[in-house]
Amino acid sequence: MAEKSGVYLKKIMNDPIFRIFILMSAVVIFGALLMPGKFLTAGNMTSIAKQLSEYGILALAVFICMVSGGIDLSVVYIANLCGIIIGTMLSKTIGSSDFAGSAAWMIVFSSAAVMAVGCVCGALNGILIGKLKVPAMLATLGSGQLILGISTVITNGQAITGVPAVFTKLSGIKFWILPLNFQVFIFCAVIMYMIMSRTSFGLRTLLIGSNSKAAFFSGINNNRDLVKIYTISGLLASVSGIISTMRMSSAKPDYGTSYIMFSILICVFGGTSPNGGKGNVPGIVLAAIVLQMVATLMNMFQNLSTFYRDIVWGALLLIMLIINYILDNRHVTKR
Amino acid sequence: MMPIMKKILNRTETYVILTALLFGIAVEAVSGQFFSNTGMINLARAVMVYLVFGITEMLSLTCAGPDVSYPALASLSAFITASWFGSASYQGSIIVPFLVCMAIGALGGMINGYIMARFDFPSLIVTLGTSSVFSGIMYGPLKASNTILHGTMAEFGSINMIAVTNPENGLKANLPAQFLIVTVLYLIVFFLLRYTMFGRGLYAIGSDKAAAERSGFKTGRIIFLAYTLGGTIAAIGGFMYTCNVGAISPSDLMGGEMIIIAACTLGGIRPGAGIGGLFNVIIGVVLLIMIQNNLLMLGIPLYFQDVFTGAIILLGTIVAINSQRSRNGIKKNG
Repeated sequence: MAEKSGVYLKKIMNDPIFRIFILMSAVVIFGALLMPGKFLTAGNMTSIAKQLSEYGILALAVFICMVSGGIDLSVVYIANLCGIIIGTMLSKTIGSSDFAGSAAWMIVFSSAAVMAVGCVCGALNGILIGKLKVPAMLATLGSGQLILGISTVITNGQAITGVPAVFTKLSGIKFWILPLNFQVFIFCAVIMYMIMSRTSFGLRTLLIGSNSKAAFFSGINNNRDLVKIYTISGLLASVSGIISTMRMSSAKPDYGTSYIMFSILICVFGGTSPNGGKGNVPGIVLAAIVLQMVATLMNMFQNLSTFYRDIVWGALLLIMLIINYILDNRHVTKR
Repeated sequence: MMPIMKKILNRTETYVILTALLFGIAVEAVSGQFFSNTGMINLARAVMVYLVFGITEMLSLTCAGPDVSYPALASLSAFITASWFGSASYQGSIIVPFLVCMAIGALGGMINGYIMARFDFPSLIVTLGTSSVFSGIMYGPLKASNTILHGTMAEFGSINMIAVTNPENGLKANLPAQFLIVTVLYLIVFFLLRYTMFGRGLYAIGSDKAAAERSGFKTGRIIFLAYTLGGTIAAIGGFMYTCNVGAISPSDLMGGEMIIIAACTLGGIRPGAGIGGLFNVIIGVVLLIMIQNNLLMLGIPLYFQDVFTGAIILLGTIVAINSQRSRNGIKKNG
C-alpha cells in the first residue's frame, strides 16, 4: 500500500501541471508576504488577469505550432496588424460617437473581418511550411517581416490612436473580478483544450510533432493539417491583437516584439516540448498566470529597472528547459 | 561541357549572383553610381560588419540552427569594452580593448555552447533566452546608454585604408582599415572549416548528428567550440561597429539577427543541415545589403522597405529550398 502511494506521488510529481501549480502557490504566498496588503488584493488580481490575456493568447498560438514540431515567430506581427486594422476601421466609422446599435454591429463586423485577416496570414504560414516545405522558423521569420512591412505601410510607421471610447470601454466589463480580456483568454484556452484533447485533429497535431514521417506513413495528410494548425495560430494572434487594441486604445506596427520571447517562455514553462509532440493547454494557462504574477511582483519594487525582467525571463526560459529535460529523461529511464 | 553547365545551373549560388548582378545593373541604369569606384567602396563599407556577423550565424546554422543571441552579445561586449577603454584617458594600444572584447564575447558564446552541447534543444529557443539575458544585463545592471567614444578606440575607427574620388561627380568614399580584420577572419575560418577536424565535424554534425557521433567526432566539444568561436567573432563585429560609428549605441545592432539569418539562407545555407560555407555568407550578405541600401535609389518609398525585404526573404527561401529538394530527389510529403 505504501509503495502504491509512492508511485502515485511520483506520477503527480512528473505531471508538469502539478509542478506549475506548486510554483503558483509559492509565488502567491511569497507575494503576500513580501507585499502585504498590496499583492493579494482583488484590484491587483484584476490587473494581472487583464495584462496576461494578450500574451496568454499569443502563447496559445505559439503552443499549437510548437506541439506540431514548428514555431510561429510571426504571431506578434499578425496581432499588431490586426490591432491596426481594427483600430483604423473603428475610428473611421464610429469616430467619437456614443454607444449605439450601429456601433455594436460595427465592432462585431470589424472583429470578424480582422479575424479573417489573421486566418489569411496564418494560412500563408501554413502553406509556406506545409506545401512549400520551408522550415517553420524561416517561414515565419520572413512572413513576420512581411506583415510588419504591411503594417508600416498602412500606418506610415506611426501608432494608431483615436480608437473609439465605446470599444476601449468594453475591456472594463467584468465578470466577478475577471475582466473581459481574461474571459476571452479562458474561452480560447477552453476551445484549444477541446481541440487538442477531444478531436482527431488534435491527436494528429501531436503525432506530426512527435514524428512527422511516421504520421505521414500512418495516413495523415501532413500538409493539410499544417495549414490548419498555422491558420488556428493566426486566428488566435488576431484575437490577441483585438484585445490589445481594446486595452491600450492604440496599436503600433512593432509593438511588443519581446512578446515572442515571452510567449515561447510561457509555452516552455507550461511543459510544451520545444521539439514538438508534447504539451497541454492547462499548463499554458497556469504558466501565463504565474509569469504575470512574478512580473507584477517585480514591478512593485520601485527601484528595480524593467530590464532586470529581461534577465529573469531569459534565465527562467533556460532553467525551465533544462529542468523539464532532466525530469522527462528521468521519467523515461525509470519506465 | 554540358555537364559543367548543368552543374552551374543547378547551384543556388549561381542564381544569387545573377540576381545581385541584375539588381546592380538596374540601380546603375537609374542612378549611374553603382558600378563606379565610389559605389563599390561604399558597398564594401556597408557589408563589412554584416560579413563578420555572417560568420557567427553560419557556424550556428551549419551545426544546429539559427543563433539570435549574437546582436545582444556583440552589443554587450562592445559596450563593456568601450566603457572601460572608450574614454580619452586610455591612450594605449588598441590590441588590449580588442582582446578584452573578444574574451567577453567568447564567454557569452560559451554559455550558448554549453547549453547547446549538453542538451538537445532547438538553438532558436536557447539563444532567445541568452539574448534576453545579455541585453537585460546591458540595460539593467550596467545601465547602457549612448556615449561618444574618445581616445584610441575612436582613432582606430577612423583609420582609412583606401580613399577614392569619383572623377565624374567628385563624390568621395573611404574604406576603413578594419576591412583587413574581416579578411583575416574569413581566412582563419576558411582554414578551420576546411582543414581541421573541427570544421569537418561541424558539417558532419549538421548533416547527421548521430552518425557524426558514431563515426568518432566529439559532437559536444565541437558544438561548444563552434558557439564559443561564434561569440568571439560576434564580439569582434560589435567592436568594429562601435569604433566605426565612434559612439556606443547599444540598441543599434538589436534586431539585426533577422537580416543575417535571411542573408545566410538566401546565400544557400540550410539551417541545421550541414550545407553552406563562407562563400554563401558573402554572396547572401552582399545581395541583401545591396538591395536594402538601394531600394530608395530605385524609387521605392521608405515605408515599403520592410514589405520588400520580407517578400525577398520568403521568395528566396522558397526557391532555394525547393531547388535543393528537387536536386536531391527528396519526395514531396516526406
